[in-house]
Amino acid sequence: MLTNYILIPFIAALAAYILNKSNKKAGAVVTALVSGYLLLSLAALYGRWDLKESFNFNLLGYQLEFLLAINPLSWLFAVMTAAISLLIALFSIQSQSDFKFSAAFNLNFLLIIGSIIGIVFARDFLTLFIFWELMTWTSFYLISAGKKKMAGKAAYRYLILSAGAAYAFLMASIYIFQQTGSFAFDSAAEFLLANSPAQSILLLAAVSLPFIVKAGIFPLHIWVKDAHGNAPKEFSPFLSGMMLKVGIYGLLVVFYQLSFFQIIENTVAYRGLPLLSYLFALLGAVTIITGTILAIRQEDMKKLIAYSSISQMGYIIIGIAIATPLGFSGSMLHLMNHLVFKSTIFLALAAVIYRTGTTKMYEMGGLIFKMPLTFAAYLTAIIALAGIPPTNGFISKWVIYQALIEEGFLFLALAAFFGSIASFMYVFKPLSTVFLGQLKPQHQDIKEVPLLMKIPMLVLIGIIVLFGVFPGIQMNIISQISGYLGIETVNYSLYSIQGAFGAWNSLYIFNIFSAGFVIALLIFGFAKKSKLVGLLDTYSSGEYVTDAESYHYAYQYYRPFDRVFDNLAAKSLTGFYETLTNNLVRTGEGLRRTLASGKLQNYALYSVLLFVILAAVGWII
Amino acid sequence: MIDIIYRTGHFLLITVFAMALGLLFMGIARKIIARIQKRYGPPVYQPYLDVLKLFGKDAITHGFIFDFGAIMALGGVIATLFFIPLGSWQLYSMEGTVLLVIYLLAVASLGMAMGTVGSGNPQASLGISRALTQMLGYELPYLVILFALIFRYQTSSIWGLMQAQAGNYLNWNLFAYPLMALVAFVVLIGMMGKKPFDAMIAPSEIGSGPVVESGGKYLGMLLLQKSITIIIELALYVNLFLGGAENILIFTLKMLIVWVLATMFGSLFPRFRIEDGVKFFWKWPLGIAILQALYIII
Amino acid sequence: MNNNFVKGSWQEILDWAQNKSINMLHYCTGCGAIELPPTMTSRYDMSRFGIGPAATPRQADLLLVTGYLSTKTLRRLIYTYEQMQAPKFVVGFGSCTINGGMYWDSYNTIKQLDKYLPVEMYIAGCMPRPEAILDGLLKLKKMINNGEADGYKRYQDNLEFYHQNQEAVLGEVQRTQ
Repeated sequence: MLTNYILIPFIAALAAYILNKSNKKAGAVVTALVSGYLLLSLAALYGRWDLKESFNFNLLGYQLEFLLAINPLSWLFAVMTAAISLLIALFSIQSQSDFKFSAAFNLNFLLIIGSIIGIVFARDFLTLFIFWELMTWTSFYLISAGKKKMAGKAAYRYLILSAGAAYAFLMASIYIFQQTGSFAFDSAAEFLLANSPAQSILLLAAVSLPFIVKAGIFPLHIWVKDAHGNAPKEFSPFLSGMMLKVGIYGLLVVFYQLSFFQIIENTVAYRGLPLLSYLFALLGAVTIITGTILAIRQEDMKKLIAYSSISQMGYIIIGIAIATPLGFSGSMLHLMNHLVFKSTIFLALAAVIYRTGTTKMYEMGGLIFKMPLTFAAYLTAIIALAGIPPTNGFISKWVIYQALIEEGFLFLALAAFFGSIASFMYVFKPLSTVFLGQLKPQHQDIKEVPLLMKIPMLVLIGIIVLFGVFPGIQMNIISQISGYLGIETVNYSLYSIQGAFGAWNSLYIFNIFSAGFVIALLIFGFAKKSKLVGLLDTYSSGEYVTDAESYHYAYQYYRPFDRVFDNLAAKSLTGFYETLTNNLVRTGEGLRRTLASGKLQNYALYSVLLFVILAAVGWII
Repeated sequence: MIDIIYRTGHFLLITVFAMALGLLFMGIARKIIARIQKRYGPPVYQPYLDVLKLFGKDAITHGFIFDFGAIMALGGVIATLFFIPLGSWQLYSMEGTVLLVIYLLAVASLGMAMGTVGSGNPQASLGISRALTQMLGYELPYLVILFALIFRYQTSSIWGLMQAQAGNYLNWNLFAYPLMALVAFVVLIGMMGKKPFDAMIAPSEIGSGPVVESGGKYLGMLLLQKSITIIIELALYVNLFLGGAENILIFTLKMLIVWVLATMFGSLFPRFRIEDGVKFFWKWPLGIAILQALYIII
Repeated sequence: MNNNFVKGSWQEILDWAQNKSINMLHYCTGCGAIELPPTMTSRYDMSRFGIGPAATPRQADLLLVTGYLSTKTLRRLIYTYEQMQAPKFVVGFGSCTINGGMYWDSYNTIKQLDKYLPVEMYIAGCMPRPEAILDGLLKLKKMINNGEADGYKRYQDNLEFYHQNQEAVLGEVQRTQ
């Protein structure tokens, strides 16, 4: 039964490819239908945590078992994938009507959906690896289908990192197979617990390497900016929203189901937390800071939001690593909320790209007059990202803060605060340069996006506000997951959550906020009516403004802030990796030139040496 | 029904009180600065007349977002006001109000930022980008201080933090953690946009920054927003470090003392450039705050 | 142009408030502007009368035309005046605005400001000392309080007259919408 959820997307992928060759929109319609079906049937599966399936396979004398099972964590990820795919597919029906690779897009997209469901249902290393590699390869094809020239190079870099990490995973899992005779998670967990801690930790580090790469954690985050920024505009929401989270899912499996936390329980501790966990949380903190600072410097709006995704992943890592009930709930809340508001931002940006054809922020401006719904979607999403009540982003960030303050982790809290305040800066930049400001003459005829593209944005805005006022809906599934993984649950009700120092009541906050708003509206309404003037009639020290292009402040929006970090940013991590690879290549070249130099005398020498050695050993003569 | 009317009356009374007090404080500041500069200066009730005149003038608007931004700014600030204990009055004691207040102030600044940038004038964008950068500068030491205080007293409501300093006046955080109080005072000057941290409203550099296209009722509403923001920030400082007060009169007196000190301090300096301001905040205030916080935690 | 003039006794309160708080636009047209800094700063302290500086025309009430006006400056001055919002007042400063002053025979300056913008009052002198400026501004405050300073209404009622004069000396004039 569980394999249906994997097979249906795979078969539909082929169908979508074939149908798309005749009608450009058919592929996206197939994707939407399949995602909708998956969403509904998975929602009906809620509570059936006992479903299991297994397949046995005999290969060269080895007994291979493929295990699939469903549990609350898998269910949540599968539902999130299906939901966001449905919205993206609805959006792409219109926005891909003139996209050259729409057939390949839908084929690969459905394959990715199927493989993610396979990943979260997997209960042994081999299944996980197969679907993981499938997901990596298909997303490689999808990223390289982007319109930009850099898309291929960015996808290539993504592939190299992912593949390298996946081979480490493979080696570790084969070693575990040799020791225990099976690939399953349960037996691996027992083996790792019984083994020496140092060896287990090394194995688990190798196993978690692909997950770290996928989640974009420092120092392996260098692929995220180019891949997310150059991917096709409908795929970026999925990349940032869902695929980063699959890495988090893998880390959760490593931490809880492969008993990483149990192994390190008795190692040296810092303020009650094992040192390795604290180091991991520190990695998350550095990710937040790096992502935020680099985001503020970007001129390309998709790359800016891509860096923002990395820094939000840092929050989730911190919450998971400190392993308190509040921290875990905060991370899961943030995981779900980030999916919602990041997808909204990317869909709004995709709508803008659909109409203007460019992603550079300084080439746009004043689009609020032409695309007000897109602006409203973007505004709501950035209010959620900056963590301002009454949206869902505030609640998850508040819970994470409570978790950090409760335990007294000063530097982690400092990084979290930094990320929160600075996120205000980088989300304001596209708002101010793309939507507000002067309208460029070449964009005078832009219209709002068509209906099918409006619906996903409206649905997502509704979800943001709904989860902000009623966090209890999310806490239902999160408490199930906490119970399944063996963590204590957090007290909650429909609209309040119990924090470390007291409870949070969303409905009350929402009411007070409205009251303040109403008073301000009354003051505004009773004053004199104001006169509407055009954008070009503005203060310019008496000079006439005729050229909107030169009156729009967009390029290097935060120059003072950039100046603070100019020295640091010159030494970028990508440059470090590139220097490393260049040195490696040069060493290899040097070796090749000496050993395989093309001179006949050297080859004759090698043959004679080989003959002598083999004779001495006794294999010949 | 009576309860709702009572509540609404309460809301309006607090709002009007905060606006009136804030405007009076602004007038007092102008008088003090004038006296420091050896001149007479406008009367202390001058801001009331300014606001009255502004609501009598015509204004222009650049579209829906311009109006919406002004309303959001004033609305957000009024909503924030309802969570701060003034004297012995507290609308609803709730946990987490400290962080909530910081974030609701962010709503107000986002509203003002959005509205003023929607005017299409690049000088407004310039002023807002400077204001946001500077906000990053001063918020970091402030949040470290809040972290330390919440951890120390194990409560995150302002009312709780105020009550924890009850009793002897030597219990005040001003005397218990003097370095933190000093850092919070410097941050307060940054928050209120006084010199040396007022490059975002520099009149001759960028044409008064964000308010470049606001006149008439928009300028009036932003002036009211500024007055309530002053009261919020001062009340926060008095509640966190000077132990709050039992009644509103002593509370006002304490706020007045802090305000006068801040004004006198702010009238002495020229302007910092924004990156110098940010680097300053991240060097000494952040360093001292972190040291004090570590001392509290460990 | 805006026609939201408030009627009735509410107008008296607003007039009183307007006279107590005037925002002056720093439009320093000519050499007369040199007398403004001493008036604004500590020695002659204009702010004790409620008169303060404004950075942009949108926030300003008072336009102080300090000195001679070449035609180039007049064009921008008219644009600035039309960007200000009612109620607004223009004060001519120095003899150049009254009858051309020192530049009475120049081909490039205008000789009588009242033909192009509605002036409330002139302050005579070349240049008037700060005491004279304060005297003039206090008289302006009295005029505002009595409701006699209605230059903006005069401008709207006689729009044709002013536009004709402006175009006669400037050629074509770009207007705000």
